[in-house]
Amino acid sequence: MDYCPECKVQVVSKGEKCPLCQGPLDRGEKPASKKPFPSYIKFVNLRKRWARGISLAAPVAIGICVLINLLTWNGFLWSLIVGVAILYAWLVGLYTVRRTDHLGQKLLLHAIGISALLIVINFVTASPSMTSSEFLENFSEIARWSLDYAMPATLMAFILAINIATLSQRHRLRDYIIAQFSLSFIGFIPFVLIMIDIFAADILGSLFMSIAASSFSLLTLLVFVIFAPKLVAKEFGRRFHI
Amino acid sequence: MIKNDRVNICIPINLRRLFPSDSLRNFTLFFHTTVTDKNHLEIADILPHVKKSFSEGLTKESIIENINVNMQAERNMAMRLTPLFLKKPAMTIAGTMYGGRLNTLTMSNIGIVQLPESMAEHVKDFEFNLSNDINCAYGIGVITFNNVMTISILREVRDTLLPMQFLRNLVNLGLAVEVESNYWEEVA
Repeated sequence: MDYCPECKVQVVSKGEKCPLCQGPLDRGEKPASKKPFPSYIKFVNLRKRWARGISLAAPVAIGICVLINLLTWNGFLWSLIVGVAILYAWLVGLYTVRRTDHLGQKLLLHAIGISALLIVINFVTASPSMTSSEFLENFSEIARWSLDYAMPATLMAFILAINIATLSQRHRLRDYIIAQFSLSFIGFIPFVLIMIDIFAADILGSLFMSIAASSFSLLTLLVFVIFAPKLVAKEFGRRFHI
Repeated sequence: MIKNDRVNICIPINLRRLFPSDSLRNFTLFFHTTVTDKNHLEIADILPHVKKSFSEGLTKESIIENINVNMQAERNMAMRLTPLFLKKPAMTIAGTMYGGRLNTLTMSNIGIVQLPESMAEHVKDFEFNLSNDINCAYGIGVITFNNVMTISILREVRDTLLPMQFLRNLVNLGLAVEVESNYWEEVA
């Protein structure tokens, strides 16, 4: 076993110098009484490096797009679409890749992100040269395809996805329940938005998807409340400390 | 070397000894002992201070007082109604800003491990590794088996001054010390 004359300690490890004072060791002939501690293997976290790189690149890319859009301004705010798309890919995408669990939260975040992106695309492409007053006056007309069709369809798809996940992994119901309820409540939003506007314009023809999304949300909520009332009450009590 | 000349050691207390519980879950509370070393005291001067803080802080009454402070916040109606998804990040930020940074190191002593004879003859030694992080640079785990005390020092800093001074003190007290290392500081 080796010995450090400075620290006056026996050194079991097979290093060249004393692990404490970094000084030279007196080599001993007698082997160490125990197996030396294995050498440290440096761990490089590539995921973390990529995440940091993306977190640096994303705001820079958004800034460059906004700058180019302003310098070459032709009345079309395309940088808003690019910015929201990058934000969505950055925040939600990164969370999806980095976390290996929380499927419910991931689905909820994707549903919100995609809905927001669709609404932005709709507004920006439908009103390239409108003033803000014109925009507010024609809001219901402009928001037509995103709020009437795209957002309800997206929400229905994600509610269906989380329902499938819950049914296929019933033992993880507790992990999914808050995301499931949040998604189901969000599913009512397109219908509520249209109901606010229903007396102002004749839009009955476009109500179909919103009603379908709301009905699907309501059905999901009812299934949970009827078939697992104790679990729902317990989980909400636990989450909100009631 | 030591910022603010204040050394704060965090020690987990096994509450089962004071409050009998059949639960298998971690039943601990952290005890903090602080030494303000403006005059750069010797270890012999610091020891009575630490001993006094232990004897005063590790009584049942004092621990109950600490638990009551924690429970007051937990029973607060506004806190209870705040959803977990808001409380969790808030607590993480508060913990990062004020929790871990208040500690110089965390140290825990499991004590003497006793095994049945038939099992003990197959066991050479035990190691108790206590995790550390960027806010609490040292995690020190102590465990004793077969009359050998093993002290594992996990650290976040490359500098080896603290383990060196600590182990040299043990040598000066007349103890036989064996050191092993993975020489992490050379590759980290």
